[in-house]
Amino acid sequence: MARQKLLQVNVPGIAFAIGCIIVFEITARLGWLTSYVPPPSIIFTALGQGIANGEISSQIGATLHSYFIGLALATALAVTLGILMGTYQPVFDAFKMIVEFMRPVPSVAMIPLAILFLGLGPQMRISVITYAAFWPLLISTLYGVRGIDPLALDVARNFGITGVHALWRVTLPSALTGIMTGFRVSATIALVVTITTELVAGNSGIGFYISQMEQANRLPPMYAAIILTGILGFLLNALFFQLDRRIVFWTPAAQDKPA
Amino acid sequence: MSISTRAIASQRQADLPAASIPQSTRTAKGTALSISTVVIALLAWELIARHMHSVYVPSVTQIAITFWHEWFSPTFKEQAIPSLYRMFFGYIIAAVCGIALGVIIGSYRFMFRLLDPVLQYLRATPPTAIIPVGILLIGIGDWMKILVIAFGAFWPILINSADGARLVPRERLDTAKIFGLTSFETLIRVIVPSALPQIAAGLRTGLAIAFILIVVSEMIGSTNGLGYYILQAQRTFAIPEMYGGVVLLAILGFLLNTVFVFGESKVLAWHYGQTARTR
Amino acid sequence: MIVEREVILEVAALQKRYANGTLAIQEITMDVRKGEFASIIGPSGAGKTTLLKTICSLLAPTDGYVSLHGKKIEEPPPEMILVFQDYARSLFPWLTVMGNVIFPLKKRSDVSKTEKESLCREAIKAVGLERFANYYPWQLSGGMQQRVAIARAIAFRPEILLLDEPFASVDALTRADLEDLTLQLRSDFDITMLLVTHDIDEAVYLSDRVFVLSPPPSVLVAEIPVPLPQPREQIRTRSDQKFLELRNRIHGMIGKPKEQALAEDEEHVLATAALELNKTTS
Repeated sequence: MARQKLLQVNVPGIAFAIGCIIVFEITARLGWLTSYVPPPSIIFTALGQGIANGEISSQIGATLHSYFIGLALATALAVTLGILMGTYQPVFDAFKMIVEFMRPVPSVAMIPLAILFLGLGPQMRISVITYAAFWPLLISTLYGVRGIDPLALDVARNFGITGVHALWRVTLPSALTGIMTGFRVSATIALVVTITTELVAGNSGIGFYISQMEQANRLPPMYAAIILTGILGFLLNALFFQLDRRIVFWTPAAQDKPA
Repeated sequence: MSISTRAIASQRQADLPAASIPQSTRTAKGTALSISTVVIALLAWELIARHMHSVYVPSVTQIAITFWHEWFSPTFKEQAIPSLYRMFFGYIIAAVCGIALGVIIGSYRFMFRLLDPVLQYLRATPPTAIIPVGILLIGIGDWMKILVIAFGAFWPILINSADGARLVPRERLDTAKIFGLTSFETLIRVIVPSALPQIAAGLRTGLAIAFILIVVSEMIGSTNGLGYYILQAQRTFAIPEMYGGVVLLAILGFLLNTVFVFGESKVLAWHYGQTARTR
Repeated sequence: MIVEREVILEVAALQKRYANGTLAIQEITMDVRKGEFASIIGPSGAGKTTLLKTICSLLAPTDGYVSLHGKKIEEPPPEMILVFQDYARSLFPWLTVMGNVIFPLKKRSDVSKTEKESLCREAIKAVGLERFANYYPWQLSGGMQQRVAIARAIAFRPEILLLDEPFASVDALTRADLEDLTLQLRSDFDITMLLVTHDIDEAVYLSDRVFVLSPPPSVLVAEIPVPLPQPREQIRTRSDQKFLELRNRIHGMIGKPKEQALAEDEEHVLATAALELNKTTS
């Protein structure tokens, strides 16, 4: 049943999307758009070339490298601290205020700080990405842990499962829905921050490539890279959506049932 | 991915309360612990900074003095105010367009299907990647930032409003029909209030994005503003000023969040009451 | 003495096929008279809700038509108001009880504001929720929420009230109260009632006439008059011998296709036989 639904292709939607691209193409070629915006055909050609000759594709690797490492670090830290804070009141109290004050700081404001200590390389980027992805995931984990049915923990205690063991086998799985939601938010933010740090002060990655092309006035590759970020974002969204469904397979949303 | 499961997932997000941290039973002991960790952290910083004598790590007192000096002076008007009004302008544009278009798209099933792939792609594009295009087309004035912010904040508001409009229970729409309400009346008096929790979630995300984008757009293409200030401070090694700027951003972010949460709790009091009951 | 009331609602050869091709309602012809309490009874899934929604024009019939006072209905008419089974989802959580009840009246420009408010207060009082006018729906119990939905319909002063299994989601005690409330409202406000339910006892208790529906594709199996004395009373009426006869008779018809139901229905067989006898002897 669920498999059938997955194959349901949104024909009118895709047709509309293709139609938009065609309209874009025509208006650009007719010269109705500013000369700063080349027609899609030229952009896609540049994209294809850039991937084929490695100009763009090498940067994709750099971007994804920083992205996944930053996201992984953030996840490990946020989930751990979130579970601890959610389970043990003293831990919660201890960190509560620090979290409240540090959380609203936009991660991008940390870029100059990071540059100061780590220069312009991937490490600087990874630290900013980790910082950015950490907070939403921490909050979601907290809520996920707090929303746990106390009954689950009581049942576990009945069977002699307590302490760290209980945390791993009962708390973590129960909080997983909240954690997954937070993870997907963090994943989106992480991509934005990755591209941003590369754009503002990078020496590699797609964002860096974009600013380079802009300065060199090579517009088609610049647009190609911008389009690429959208494609990347789209694919990552889809990837994590599927991950969500599979990991938290017991929720109604994962089974395509109404909530 | 099925449209309905995405809507449910986004509703899950909307149900997350707006307050940043779940309020536990506030004990005196708890509050004391919270404050003491902050104090300890600041003290530790101070001691390490004095010990290190590094330009990169000014002491807390140094930062505090610079902060006091800088931000209670014309600098605030020159740097902070422009950032704020650019952000608000862009945010308002995004909010008005996002809610209006979102609610309309969500109410008409076919339109939603039609626009879905395009919307999914556009919202996945990191808005910061648009900045170079913005600079090319509009230059580095106020409008570039305002439009970039509007572009970035628009998507979560649009998508959430559309989801909210789609999730209105069938019975409410039928009730409106039974009592003879026109399509427009139904939209305004039934769909929009029903979708308000979702819309609020979108506005919340949009605000966070707007805040990020103002800083970034000022770092990349600006001659003033908080983003420019912080980056410039780093470049000219005015380190305490740089930290001071970050602290100011933290305070502004905190204030924005608090005001938003307060407003939301007033407007959505009925929603919290209802969901609290069913939990 | 039974006065022949005038027919105000006619359902003529109504058919409803869903978009996916399933035939929910094959053919239903019935009528509703002014001031009467009519019930439609059928097993779950018989398309009772669909029938009600088609009657008030929320859904369009695939064949046949519905006419009110002799005029065909194409759009939900203000004279006919439907009360939904799922009250929680039909009430507006951002409005108080008063806000919900006055909601449909807001667009009526021909009624003054003070009059609207008094209509609402009267309706709220009639359902017994005077004290709760400023509460929000989610602060009330299920039975009270259903009363709000009913009050909202009543304040609009419809001629006919359609009720879609309105008491299915409340507990038995509340159900008895709500049943009696409905009877009270019918006499106080002179509203014609058309109720859909799967509860046979309820149907017989409340109605002047009971329409029995077959399983889908639904047709009308029988139209059964309920000549029990008025006013109805929970204990006295339900222990009446005639009550038990009627309910057992209807019970025998539920869930079976029309031919089978009628064949097994003794009274029907006797009546047809008597008719045949009359024909041959006259």
